Amino acid sequence: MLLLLLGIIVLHVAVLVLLFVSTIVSQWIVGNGHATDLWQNCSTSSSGNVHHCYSSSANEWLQSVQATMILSIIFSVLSLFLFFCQLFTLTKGGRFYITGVFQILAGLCVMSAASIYTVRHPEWHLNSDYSYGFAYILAWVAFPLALLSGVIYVILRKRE
Amino acid sequence: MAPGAPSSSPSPILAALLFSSLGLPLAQAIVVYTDKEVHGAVGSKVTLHCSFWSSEWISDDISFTWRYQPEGGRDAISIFHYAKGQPYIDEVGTFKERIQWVGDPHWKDGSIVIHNLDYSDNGTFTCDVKNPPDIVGKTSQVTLYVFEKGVRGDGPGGLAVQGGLGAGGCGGEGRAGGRGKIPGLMPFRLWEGGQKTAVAERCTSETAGNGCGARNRRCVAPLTPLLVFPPLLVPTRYGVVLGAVIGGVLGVVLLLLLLFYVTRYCWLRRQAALQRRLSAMEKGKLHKAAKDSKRGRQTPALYAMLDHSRSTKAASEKKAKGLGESRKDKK
Repeated sequence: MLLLLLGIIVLHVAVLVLLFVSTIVSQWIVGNGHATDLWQNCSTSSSGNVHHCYSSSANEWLQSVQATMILSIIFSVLSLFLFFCQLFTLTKGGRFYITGVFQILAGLCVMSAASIYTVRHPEWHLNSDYSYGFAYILAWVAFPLALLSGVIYVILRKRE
Repeated sequence: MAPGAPSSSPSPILAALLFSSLGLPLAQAIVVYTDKEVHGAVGSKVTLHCSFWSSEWISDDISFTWRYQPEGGRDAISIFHYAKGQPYIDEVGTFKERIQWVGDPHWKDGSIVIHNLDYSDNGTFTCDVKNPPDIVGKTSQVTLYVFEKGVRGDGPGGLAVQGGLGAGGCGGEGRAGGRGKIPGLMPFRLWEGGQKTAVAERCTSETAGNGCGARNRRCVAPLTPLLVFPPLLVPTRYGVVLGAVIGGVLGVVLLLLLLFYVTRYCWLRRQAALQRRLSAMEKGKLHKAAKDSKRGRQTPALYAMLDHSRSTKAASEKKAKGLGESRKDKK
C-alpha cells in the first residue's frame, strides 16, 4: 500500500517536472543556429551557448499555447495539493475524485497546448528548416502520464 | 512625422512620473523606442519607426544608426547611418537602394523605409541614437517578419485592409469596412495588423495611395501621446489572450466546482432533512407507542386504585401502605 502511494506521488511529481521543463526550456523548435520556445526566440552558436534572445511574437495562438501550458501546471499543482488534503480528510473507501479530475484537466490542457503548437506554429515561426526540440516532446510525454495518474486517482480507493 | 511628440511634451515632471512608473531609471539619459514587431508582405515596403527621448537638446551632432541582424545570423551589420545632417545609406549590402530615410532629427524621428521586401529580410533591426553629449542609453530592436503575398495581400485588397485597419485603429470607423473588404483574410492576421496600428504609427506612411490616406494622416495627432511611450502599450496587448485564457478556464473550473459543491451540499441537506423527518416520524411513532403502552399499563393501576378507594377504609389503609411500599420501591 505504501509502495503504491509512493509510486503515485512519484508519477505525479514526474508529470509536474515534465510540465515545468517543457514550459520553461527554450527547445520547442530547433533549427540551425536558433532555438524557440513559448516565450522567446534565441539564436545559438554551434557550441550551444545562447547568443541573443528576443521575445516571441504576440500571436494569439502562441499565447493560447502559453496559457494552456500554465493552466496545466496550475491544475497539476492543485491536484497534488488536493491529493494530500484528501489523503488525510477522506473517509475510508472514498475516492480521490477531485484530485483525479484536476490531474485529467492538466493532461487535457497540455494536450491542447501541444496540438495547437503543432498545427499553428508556422504562423509565428517562419523558418522552413526546423525540427521539434526535446521540450516539445516532453510536453507530449507529459500528456499520457498526466492522464494516467488522473485515472489512477479516480480509480483509487482510500484504504485506511 | 509622428514620433516627434516627445519634444512637445512640456512638463518634465510628467515625463519623470511616467518614467518612474515605467520602472526606467531616470539616470539613463537616452531612451530609444521602436516597435516590437513589424510585418510586411513580400515586395511591399515597411516603415521601421524609431524615436527617442533625451534629456538634452537636440544637438547638431545627433546620429542615428540602424543595424541589421538576419534571423538565425550571428553578426549585426550596419545598414544605415545618419550624422551631421546627412544620411548614409547601404550601397553594397543586401539593402542596396532599398532604404529610404524618412526621419527628421528635429522631431526626434529616425525612421527608415525598406522597399521591395524579401524573405531574406527577416531579422532584427536595431536603432541606435546618439545625441552628444547624451550618449548613454540602450538601443531598441524591432523584428521584421515578411509574409507571402497571398496572406496579407499586396493588391488593392491588401491596401484596403491596411487602410481599413489604419482607420480602425485610429478613428474606429473604418475597421468594419476594412474587414468587410477582404473576406479571405483570417481574423488573427487582422488582429495582428490591428495591434500594429495600435502600437505603432502604421497609418501614416503605408496607406498612402488609397482612399483613407487623408483620414489616416489626420489621425496621427491623437495617437502621438501613445507613441511617446510604446512600452505602456506593448505589454498589455502582449498578454491579453494569455490572461484571458487562463482566467477564463480557471474561472469556469472554479464555477463548476462551486456549482458541484453547492448542489451536493443542497442535496445532502435535503437528504439529511428527509432523514431527520423520517426518523422523527419513526421516533414519534415509537414515542407514541411507548406512551400508549405506558398509559395502557398505568390505567389498570388507576382503575385498581379507584377500585381500592371505593372499597373499605381498611382496604384504603392497606392501599396507603401499599402506596408507601410502592413509593419505596420506586425510590
